[in-house]
Amino acid sequence: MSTDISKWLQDIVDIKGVTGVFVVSNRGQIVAHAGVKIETGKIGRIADRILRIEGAFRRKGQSLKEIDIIASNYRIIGMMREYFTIFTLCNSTDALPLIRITLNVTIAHLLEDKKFNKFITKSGTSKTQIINRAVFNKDETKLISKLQR
Amino acid sequence: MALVGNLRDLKLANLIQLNCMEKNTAKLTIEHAGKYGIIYFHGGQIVHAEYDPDIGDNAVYRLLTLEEGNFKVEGGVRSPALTVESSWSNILLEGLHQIDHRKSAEDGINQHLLEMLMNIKGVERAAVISANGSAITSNFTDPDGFVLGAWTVMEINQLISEAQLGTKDFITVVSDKNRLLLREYNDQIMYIELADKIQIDTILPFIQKAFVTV
Repeated sequence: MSTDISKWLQDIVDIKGVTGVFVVSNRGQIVAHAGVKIETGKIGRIADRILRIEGAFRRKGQSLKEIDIIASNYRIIGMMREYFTIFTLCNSTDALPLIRITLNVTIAHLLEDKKFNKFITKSGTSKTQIINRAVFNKDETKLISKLQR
Repeated sequence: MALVGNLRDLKLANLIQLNCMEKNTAKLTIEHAGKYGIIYFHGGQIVHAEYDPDIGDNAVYRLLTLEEGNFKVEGGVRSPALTVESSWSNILLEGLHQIDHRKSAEDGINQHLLEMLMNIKGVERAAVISANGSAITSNFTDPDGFVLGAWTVMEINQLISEAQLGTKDFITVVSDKNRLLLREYNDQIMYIELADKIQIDTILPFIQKAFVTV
């Protein structure tokens, strides 16, 4: 990844309370990250579950923009765009407005970066495909079958 | 040969009735969410029951509240203890009465919580839904929205378990259609739709307060 992208992500990690930031493709691969190193598989699993949620919303003609998981001691902010999702891990949300502004700026930069866009569209897959290809357990199958295409 | 099945298909009350009327000596084991409950039958009566931490009548009452769980009935297995002395019909009546009572108490709590939430500026609509996306307490219908809410909670729970994160309080979902706040409580999901302009982080403390108050 370009040094610009590393710098943009580092700007987010430099904010108080942010421990890590990851840009993940629609295939669940980490394409760029900054901050705390997390086992690739772990972020992949987080991305996979979020992509399944996105896929279900897409099936009903809705487009997801953001999902946050809020707990007393952590927060995960997932911001979605057509070919990537940017996950931000926080252990405190004292500077949340600043985190959001910086994230929006970073996303705007990423969307304008031609090299990044070429790479991410090539390595991605359509969000509607994700849910069609996924393997579900019994409870998931029962629930997802209620969302007829 | 053991009889196996799921409480979704055969209710525990019917299983008890069947074993007692047939005067079976048997052991009934129920597995629900990784926990095991046991009921022993002898000579047409329930003689012993365990469902951690309860033993005896209370264990049966709690087992009767389960709506699903795998069960196995093994014929000819004798009970190691005698902890139930009430007749099976009395136990069933009391158990079903307790379920009704609990359900109406829960309905009251849900209704009260919904009223509190609807009084918060920025909350557009709120409903209590089940894990399978059905409305439990709601004054509006949005079947697809409820299923998407339940789906989101199910996937996030799997994510938390797989990534070994701590327990969550809320999930917020922003789509091009609406802004949702989801929270699990008492094995149910609170589904809250927020107004377009409202900042989720501004409204969150008020919503948290409503849950604490109830």
